[in-house]
Amino acid sequence: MEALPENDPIPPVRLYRINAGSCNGCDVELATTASVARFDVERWGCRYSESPADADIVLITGPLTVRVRDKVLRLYGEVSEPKVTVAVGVCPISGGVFRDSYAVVGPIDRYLPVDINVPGCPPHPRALGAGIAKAATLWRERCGYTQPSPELASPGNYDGDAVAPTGLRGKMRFNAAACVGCRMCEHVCAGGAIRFDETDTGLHFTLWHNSCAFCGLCSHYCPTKALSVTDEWQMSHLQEDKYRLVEQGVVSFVPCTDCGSILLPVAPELLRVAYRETSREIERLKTLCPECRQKQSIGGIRR
Amino acid sequence: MMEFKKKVSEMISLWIGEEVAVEWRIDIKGVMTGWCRLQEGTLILPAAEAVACLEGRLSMITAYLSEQAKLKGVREISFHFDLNGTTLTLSIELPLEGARIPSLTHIFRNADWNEREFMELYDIQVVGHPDPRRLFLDKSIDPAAFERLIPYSTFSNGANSKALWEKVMAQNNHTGKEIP
Repeated sequence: MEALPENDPIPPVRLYRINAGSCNGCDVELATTASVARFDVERWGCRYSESPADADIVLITGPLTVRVRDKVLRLYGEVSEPKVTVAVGVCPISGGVFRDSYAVVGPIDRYLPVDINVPGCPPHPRALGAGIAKAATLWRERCGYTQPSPELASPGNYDGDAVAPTGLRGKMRFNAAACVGCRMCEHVCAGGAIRFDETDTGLHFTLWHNSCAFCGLCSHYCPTKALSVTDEWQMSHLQEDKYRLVEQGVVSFVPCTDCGSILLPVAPELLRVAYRETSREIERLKTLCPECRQKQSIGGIRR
Repeated sequence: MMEFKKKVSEMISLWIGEEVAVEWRIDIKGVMTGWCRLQEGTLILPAAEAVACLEGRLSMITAYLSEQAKLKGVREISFHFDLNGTTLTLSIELPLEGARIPSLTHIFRNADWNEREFMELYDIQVVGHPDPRRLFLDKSIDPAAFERLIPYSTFSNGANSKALWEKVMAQNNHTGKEIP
């Protein structure tokens, strides 16, 4: 933990935490930002406050349940302006895995203005640090401080080192070339973060990171591993980018080489899973639509 | 072991004021469990006192409304106690309508949340509970939630997801890379 220089003209930014019905996962990660030296918010010139009246930045965890809504809004109202609001974890941002429950009234931006979102389930402490640092910068701008805080002068300071911890479950990545369109990922997605849209040109895949629980189920069940878990943890963003934080890809239809009707291309990964090795005949059959394939398989030249 | 079984039956019988038979079962792993159905719902209070005298503790309470019990016109509650590592389950039957049961919270502190939970899930009134507020369900939700058929589409119509996805798709008009 580093002390602020005595002659620092900028006072520390005070953080206040509100639990809006969280499972406590994000709160446990937030605890590290007050108790583990390398994640400590004091590094960014911030400190936690016990009273909303003394706070500058509000950190909100949880999907905003019916039971706590009024209490959350009352506490939020006690934080004086100007304030900066940070949604911590996918629950306050989109409802996460609790969305559409009768007991949940969030996302929180239905009730109060949000400035920064830090997705994750829960977010890594580094991601929390980055989000809090962005919020502190934003708050200082709102207060008219022209000189940046020395701790926040370089974004590299709060973005952390480049090496992610082993086994970190970060952002999901989609490889359209390996997708076979089985939609199993959409089916198993805990947070309802995946959708497919079929158009004349192909199958469009969209994964909204602000609803993704980083559980990795999509990757686990994907037969061709078109979805993979990365170790990218830096996902904090401004509210205006909330709906733009997506992973997208298109699996374009291809024409059947015999009749010309459209079909989804057969991914090489699928052939590897199904046959291990391919042959010239399989390569030829894979360009045919199911009907032509059937015709050729049954009525074709017998060897 | 015989002495233990006898002691349990005698203590419960003493508190209830009538002979009580506990059925003891041993599973293939040698774990012993005791099972007893009390004649009246109100007898759970003296039975719990008996368990407390035996230095037992309350593990949990399960209220349930099985189809079989409903045919008989009753609902059931099972109280699971722990007697030095042996589970004793005392079950009672209550009427389907106007069920009332004495609170055990003054004997076992942990009965508090169990009783509050089944009060909001079932149409059961706990008499003498020190703090009979809702435990999980909001006051705006009608009580006895487990006794009503609530279609999935009623409590989760997906409207929130639909609205959010409309915003996501409006700002990301399939800009992903096309595979060649």
